[in-house]
Amino acid sequence: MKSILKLFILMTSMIYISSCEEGFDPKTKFEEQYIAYCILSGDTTFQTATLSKSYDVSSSDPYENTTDPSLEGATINIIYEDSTYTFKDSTTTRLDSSRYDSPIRFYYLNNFRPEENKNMTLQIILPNGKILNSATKTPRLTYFNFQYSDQDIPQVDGQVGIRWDYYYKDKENLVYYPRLKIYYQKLEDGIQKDKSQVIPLEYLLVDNEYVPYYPSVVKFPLIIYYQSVIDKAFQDISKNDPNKQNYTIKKIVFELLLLNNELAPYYMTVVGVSEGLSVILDRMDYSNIEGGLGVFGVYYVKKLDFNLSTAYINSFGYKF
Amino acid sequence: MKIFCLKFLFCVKIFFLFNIACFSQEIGTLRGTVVDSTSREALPFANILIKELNKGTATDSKGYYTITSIPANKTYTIIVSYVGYRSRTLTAFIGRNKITELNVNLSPTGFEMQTIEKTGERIKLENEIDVSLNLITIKEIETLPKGVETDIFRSLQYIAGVQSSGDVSARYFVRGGASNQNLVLLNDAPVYSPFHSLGLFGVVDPEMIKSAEFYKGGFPTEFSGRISSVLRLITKDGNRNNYSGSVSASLLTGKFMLQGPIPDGSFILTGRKSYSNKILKKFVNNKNTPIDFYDLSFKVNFLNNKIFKNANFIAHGFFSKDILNYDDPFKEDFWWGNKIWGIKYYQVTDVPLFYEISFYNSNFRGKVEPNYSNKRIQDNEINDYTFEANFNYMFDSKDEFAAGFKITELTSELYLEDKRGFLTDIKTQGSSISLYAKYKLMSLGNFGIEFGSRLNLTRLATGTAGEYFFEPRINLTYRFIPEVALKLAWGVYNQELITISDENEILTVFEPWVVTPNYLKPPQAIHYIVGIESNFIKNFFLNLETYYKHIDNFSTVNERKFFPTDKDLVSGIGYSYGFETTLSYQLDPINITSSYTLSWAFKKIYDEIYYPRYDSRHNLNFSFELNLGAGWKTSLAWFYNSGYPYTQILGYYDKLYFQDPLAQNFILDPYLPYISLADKNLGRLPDYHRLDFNISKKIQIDIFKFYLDFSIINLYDRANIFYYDRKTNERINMLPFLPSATIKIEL
Repeated sequence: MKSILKLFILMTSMIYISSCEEGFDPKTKFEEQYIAYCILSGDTTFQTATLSKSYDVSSSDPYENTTDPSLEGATINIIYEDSTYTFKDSTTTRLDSSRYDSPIRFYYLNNFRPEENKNMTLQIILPNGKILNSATKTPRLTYFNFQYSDQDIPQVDGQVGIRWDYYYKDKENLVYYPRLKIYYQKLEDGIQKDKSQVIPLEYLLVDNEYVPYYPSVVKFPLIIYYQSVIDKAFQDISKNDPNKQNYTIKKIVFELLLLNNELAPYYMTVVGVSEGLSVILDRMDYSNIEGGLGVFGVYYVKKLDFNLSTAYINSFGYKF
Repeated sequence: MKIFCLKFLFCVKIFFLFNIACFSQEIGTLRGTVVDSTSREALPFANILIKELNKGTATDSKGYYTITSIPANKTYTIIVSYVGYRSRTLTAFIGRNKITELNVNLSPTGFEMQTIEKTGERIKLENEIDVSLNLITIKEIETLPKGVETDIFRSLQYIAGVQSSGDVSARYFVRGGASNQNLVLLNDAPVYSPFHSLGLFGVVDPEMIKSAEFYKGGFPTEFSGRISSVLRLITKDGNRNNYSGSVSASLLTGKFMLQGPIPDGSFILTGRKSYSNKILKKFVNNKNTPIDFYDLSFKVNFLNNKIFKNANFIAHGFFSKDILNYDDPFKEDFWWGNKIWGIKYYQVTDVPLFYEISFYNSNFRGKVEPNYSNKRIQDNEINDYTFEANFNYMFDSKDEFAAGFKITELTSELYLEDKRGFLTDIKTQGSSISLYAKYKLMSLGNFGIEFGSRLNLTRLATGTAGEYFFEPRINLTYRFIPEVALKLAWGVYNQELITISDENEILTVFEPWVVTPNYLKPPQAIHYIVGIESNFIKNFFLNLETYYKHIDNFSTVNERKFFPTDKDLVSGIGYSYGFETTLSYQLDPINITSSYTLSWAFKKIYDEIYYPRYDSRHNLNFSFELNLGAGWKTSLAWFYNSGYPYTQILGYYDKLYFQDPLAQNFILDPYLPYISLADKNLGRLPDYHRLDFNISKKIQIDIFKFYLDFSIINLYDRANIFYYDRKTNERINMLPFLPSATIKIEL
């Protein structure tokens, strides 16, 4: 009887121990890494870069880290057309200080605007002597145009087709981020205030309510807006405001952000994909920073101003 | 190639002459079928023993058996037995150079039997060539703990060398191979998508299955197209005596089965439909899973000796569909399904020649409708029409020669946008023509060898001839003492169809199929297997196997496709090795089986070697089944495996997210914490173990038979980790303590 009791106690203990949740640490030994973001604008002469290091926290919540990981004292050079351009470091006020209360550290470069179809290299010498390298190339934008796009709003066939053409599209990995925007002024307290409204691609009926759906990043060089959606966007500018005459429409502009060969894959990995019910463990990451993480790339903004008909604008009660 | 063919034909001729010269003696042959007496359904793997000679065999998947080289002009006692049936003892006179037909009906044991009749284990030839082969009967599967549904695919995880990815998925991995390297055949037609509901259950309802053959490796020349394993499922033929039917319900599905006689034959129709998603939530971390699925199968069996003497004509079909519809424009929808139909003609001639001619069409279509979510579009269809013929000649010496050919016309279409926005639009139309021949030398008593080769004359990707490849294979058995047999297998295996699968995706809705593109060589594996089979002690059976598998050119999604010129797929190499042991004790009413596997698996892509997700060093399974009599059965099953690999967190960094790229202020843009990962799969999750329990009762009331079944998964509520969600810092566990019940009523 005693042996049966012992066996019972032993088995019960084993089952109890087995049913416990075994401890699991998802982390391994921390290794410091360096992260550089140098995203150049092809449209301006002011360029920026940021530099930081990785960090560890005692728990699994990275927000526990409240020490700004940005690095100062590094030398950042861009080598372009046999010339070296060196960034200067600076700070700016942090708008959201809920995590870090120090000013934002960044590096900047004045009077540098890369021309199209040029190679550039980035060299970063960290304060500890470690070197990060990268390279990028600007696209050949002479061959970019909107010539096959609709140019007028409204369109009688009910659709506004915006198409752009890039001769090297098969060779270069550009992605596009589109927005169609209404720029207008509203008279408030006797002052004309500048405002803008992004036009959605569609309004979707969800739970008996229309929810705007905005275009995401695209690779295909065509986007079609329904005239009815544009009409609704115009109406929504003065929704619930009976004083339509206070609104002056300035223009409708299609803005297209072009991300170059190196920036495009980075952006696509950041945007991500809905997993739905599937479970993806090790998410892909992209970096073209040799010796570290981050990205070195170039972007451009191309704009298409639409011709607006006065009668169309007046039909909403607005001025033009 | 010509030289090889000539050499091969020469060898075949020598063996034919050898047989004719040596075995023209006073011998005869016994052959026939073993069927269920109530339904005349063929019984696969039934035992036939010639008592006086202590020699026997087992029926094949069609319930057919042949015993050759029996000393003639004598009357023998024949004992026929099968699990769940009363054994029969008959006599048969074997005439000189004659084929004696002996067809046997076996009666199922009654529900109310208090004593359990001993049926014995399957009789095998002493030199039977069956390395890495597991024969599974549905009665065996039904005895094991079921979980929510009885599932053939989930039952495979009891077998040494088979890894599952946990409770959540029925996908299985064999000896270090990926899940898309497993061939699933239903009435010999491939099932491209064998899983319902994110891989939680198999599409094949066990209700319709007559037999299952599972090859973990070293599979014979008649099988082609995959490089890791073969699961061959044969459906029931239907009741040839009476009309009968059954309905059953589990927590997930409702099922029906109808069967009965037709003029000169029989039919069977089965169907299953999901009606509740509540239980599915337990599998997917309580996420809403609006999955709706069904599967439907039929088979019509025609036998008329006046029209087709000793022949059998079969028409079969299988249809399945899964729909995942959120009814929300901001969420993606999915649907996918299989459509399979085919005809078969099986002929037994007066000389011991069997041949089977088949034609079938297997179609898979799967689609992801992104709607307004940021899920990418995916549309995949694969459609194959196959004509194949298999011939098998049995010599009096017990040797066999088999040959056949297979012609497949296949079209595949894949349109998808990958995670980086790259569009893939691949359309392939190609033909595959392959031949095989093999010789099975069984006449040497304690030594048996099977050797042969497949010859693929075309490559699907090219669509034409010009690229041919051989798949030579050898299997042998040498029983050096009566209680111990040594078994060896070596073979080359090719696979032209692959899935676009992301290894990082541990729960997949469906995997699209494509033909290996021209820029990659088709995956090829070489299997080396050595095994020892022993039954030193009565009722104990021990099987030891060790293997090495090398895979060249396995294809996977190119994780480093960053530019349009980068290829969609890349190839790598893989290798795995291990040691497997299975020990079973079978003495009614107890059946105990334990298996242990020690294994290693590696993959190498981009010059980086890593452990694949399903690599587990130790795997131990234990099952105990007890037939209590009076229709009661109970079983316990315990699983253990050492932790699966995962990629550890190296640290965190602040990553730039473009909140509004057109704002063009990347200094003020949010930099959010992002995880920096260590080398792939170097960490190990905690060990996994689980105890399952099952008890079932069969009751007969008047003409109704009731089958009641109650199971508990994870009896001691072990918190087995499935994965760690780095986004939410949440540990996601597998199934908790989960009771379930099914009821089946049969008329």
